[in-house]
Amino acid sequence: MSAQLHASFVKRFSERASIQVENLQTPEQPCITILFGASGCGKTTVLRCLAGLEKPDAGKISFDGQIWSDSEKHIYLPARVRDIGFVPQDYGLFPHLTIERNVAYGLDKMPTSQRRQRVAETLEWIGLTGLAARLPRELSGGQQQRVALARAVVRRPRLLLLDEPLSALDAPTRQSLRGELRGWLRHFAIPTLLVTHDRQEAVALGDDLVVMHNGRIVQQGPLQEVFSRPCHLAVASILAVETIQPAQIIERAEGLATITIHGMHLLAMIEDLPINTREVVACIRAEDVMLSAGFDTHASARNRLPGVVRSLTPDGPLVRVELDCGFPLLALLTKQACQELSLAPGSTVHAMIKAQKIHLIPHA
Amino acid sequence: MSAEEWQLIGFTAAMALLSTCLILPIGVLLAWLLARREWRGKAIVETLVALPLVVPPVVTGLVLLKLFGRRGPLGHWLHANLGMDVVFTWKAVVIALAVMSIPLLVRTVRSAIEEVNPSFEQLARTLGAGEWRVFFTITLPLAKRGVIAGTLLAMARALGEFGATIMVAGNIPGQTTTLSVAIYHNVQLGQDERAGVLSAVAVLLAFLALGASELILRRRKI
Repeated sequence: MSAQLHASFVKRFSERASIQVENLQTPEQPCITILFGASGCGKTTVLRCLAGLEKPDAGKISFDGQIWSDSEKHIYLPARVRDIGFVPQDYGLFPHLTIERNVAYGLDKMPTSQRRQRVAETLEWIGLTGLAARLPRELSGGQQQRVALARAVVRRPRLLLLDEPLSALDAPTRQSLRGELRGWLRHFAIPTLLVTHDRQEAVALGDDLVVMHNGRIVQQGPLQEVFSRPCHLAVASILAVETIQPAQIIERAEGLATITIHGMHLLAMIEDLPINTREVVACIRAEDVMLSAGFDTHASARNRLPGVVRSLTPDGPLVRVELDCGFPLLALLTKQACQELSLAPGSTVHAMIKAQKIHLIPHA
Repeated sequence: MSAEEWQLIGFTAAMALLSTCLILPIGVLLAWLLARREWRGKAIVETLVALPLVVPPVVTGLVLLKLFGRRGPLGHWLHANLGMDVVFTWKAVVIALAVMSIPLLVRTVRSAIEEVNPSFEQLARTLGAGEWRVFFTITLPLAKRGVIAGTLLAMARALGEFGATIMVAGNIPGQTTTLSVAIYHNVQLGQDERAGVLSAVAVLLAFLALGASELILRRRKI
């Protein structure tokens, strides 16, 4: 089954720039696609067009071989029949219905006994069994977010659309829920499109990444690939992190973690990682990577990696240096520094990164 | 109070109740159409619905008299096809009350529906709900207080209606005379004491309906 989403459409506005989506695609396997971009770049509009809550002015949207919207053929499937799960930024819980009835709302065609069981199962899964009879306003923000998600997934929709699911929460709740969210999305195995402007959220939750800038899609592909090879200066500046690598924690001591990336051992700060986290994503900004010609024993940086220069790309007064240190690593140097080190493709160098400049994000 | 006076109060209350029941579904549907849909002729309907609020009630009554009279377009049709006479019967009372009170209902319900966040309705649609289900499970419950308040307001208006009623239904004791018409009639006959008693009853009824509607509207703001 190819539960693939294809979308190319235009949505015009009288008072602001139009949104132009070209060839948006999700992978065939059920996975989490992140729609990423700064606030106001049109992410929410794209999601609403996909949900059938806004009608594109031109173009085509199809999912799983079914046409949802086609301006030429005058086809427009309303939200009701698209079989999606939509969670808006403010959750949109029906204020006059109990949690149980909120969650059961989309199951009205199911026999009562089956419906009760399904709702109870879902509430149990998200840990809200005891709150079934409460009203949404009696719940905390994090609990409301869970209910909104439960209401969307309980119908087993074909596609899940989440708009900034964690942005309305306070920082501690956001962090704890981020880990759980990925677990739930994995459990339900529903193709998901998640809108966010938070880099950490994107890295922690996503498999695929679609980057939007000024109402347009500027890059899409597997998350790691997009982060490590931004094809567009805008993408690089939006993402602001050049090296993203899956890593495992092999040891912890005194607030520091020894991690391994493709067999290379590095030291990183633990920061707010939950205990027992093993699988992480290591994020390293190119500007935090220093290079030296020889092995500098006097430097304070904890991580010194021998590497080979793969390519040099001028970027204004700076040069982006792509290294191979057993894994691809990007460094951002001034032109003068490059000349002093006489860097050229093939030169061997040592890359130095301070432990506190390697940022770890849990990745289940 | 005499049996005659009790009949008068009962008749007026029954007519007001009947007219309110009649306009409730129409008024709520109209309010929803005005609040949530864009359609051709919306501005005209909007104006027509508000008109009885500003036109002198006697004029509204006269228009109804001409429409429903036996030589009027509607009255002629009703007489020819259903053998029904409207003018100067209790049916004319109901029609006069309905026309005079529907603007209040539509206005109150419309603003209550407009206050309902449309994102709830949109969300219900993404959960597979059709328009009827969205209306009855989301829009109406969330606008419930406005609907109740509007109904009570319309009811209060109907209880006190005079101008349109007397034009189209006249003053036939025991058949079309309402409380307001009876008060006017008694004053004309110089029976001030009787008019006073009936006035007190009218004030009490209006006070109850308005007070209830005010209470409900206020609770909604908290």
